Amino acid sequence: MKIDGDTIGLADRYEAQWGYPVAKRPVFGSQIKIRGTQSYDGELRVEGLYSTDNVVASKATPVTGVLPSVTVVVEETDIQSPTPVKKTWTFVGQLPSFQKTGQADQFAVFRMTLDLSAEPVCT
Amino acid sequence: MPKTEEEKIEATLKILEKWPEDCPNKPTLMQALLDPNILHSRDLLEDPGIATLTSALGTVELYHLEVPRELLPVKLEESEIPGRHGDIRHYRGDKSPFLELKGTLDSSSEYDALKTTLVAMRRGQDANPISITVRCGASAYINGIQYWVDEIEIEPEPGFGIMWARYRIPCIKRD
Repeated sequence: MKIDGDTIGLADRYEAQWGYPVAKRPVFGSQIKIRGTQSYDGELRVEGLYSTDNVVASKATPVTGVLPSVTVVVEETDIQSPTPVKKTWTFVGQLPSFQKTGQADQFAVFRMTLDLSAEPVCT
Repeated sequence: MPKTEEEKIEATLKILEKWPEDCPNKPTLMQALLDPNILHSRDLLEDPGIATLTSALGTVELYHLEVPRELLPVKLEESEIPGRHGDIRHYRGDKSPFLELKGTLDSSSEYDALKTTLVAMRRGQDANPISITVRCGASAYINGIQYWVDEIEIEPEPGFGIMWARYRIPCIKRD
């Protein structure tokens, strides 16, 4: 996984969801609602071991008052005969939330949530 | 009134043809055959909208009417009684009933119908009264009653990729 080109070597779990909510409005004299497709919403949640070279926190800081646009690239390889296929998912958004937890004699963990500004692209 | 299955399908198709092509909530033929009430048309002979406003100058269908609110105002004369708080009232007659049609439009065609056709009908309503029909399901409980059409409000809503707006059409019954 890479964030703006920097590799996050210890990310070990991610969860992404995105879509277009449907607005439903009841109309008079009918039990069937009308439906309207609303605006896009999505987020990518990443969790992993925190290491001292982790740069994610710096992406969650506004630059001249604005959270910067961040690109996260996830590379996955599935197993397909005869050769494994590599897929790259690209997520673009802003990082309004960064979380870091630690415990004595244990490892530190980071979590980030990327608010997606566009649909992810898979190549 | 259509009797045979062929006649029912033909009548259903004719009603569906009246719906705007760009309305994403236009019922499909299958939906209409499975649930004819979705057409708001008793015996498949009526107009397709939940409400229909019509005059000699045109017709506007409201396909997604939500709240047809009615107000039945009254004239009550007040009299004060010396030495007592409160008033007594005398009935002096009914005022003209008020009807407010509130709903949603989800296509440019429906927007144009309000902005252009209904406004033209309103402009000529002195000589060409506007009749309103409102249906609950397929039953017209306000059936061809003449109303004055007052100030029309159209409030577009953000976040939709199509023309999506709330509207409000206040009407006062003609006497």
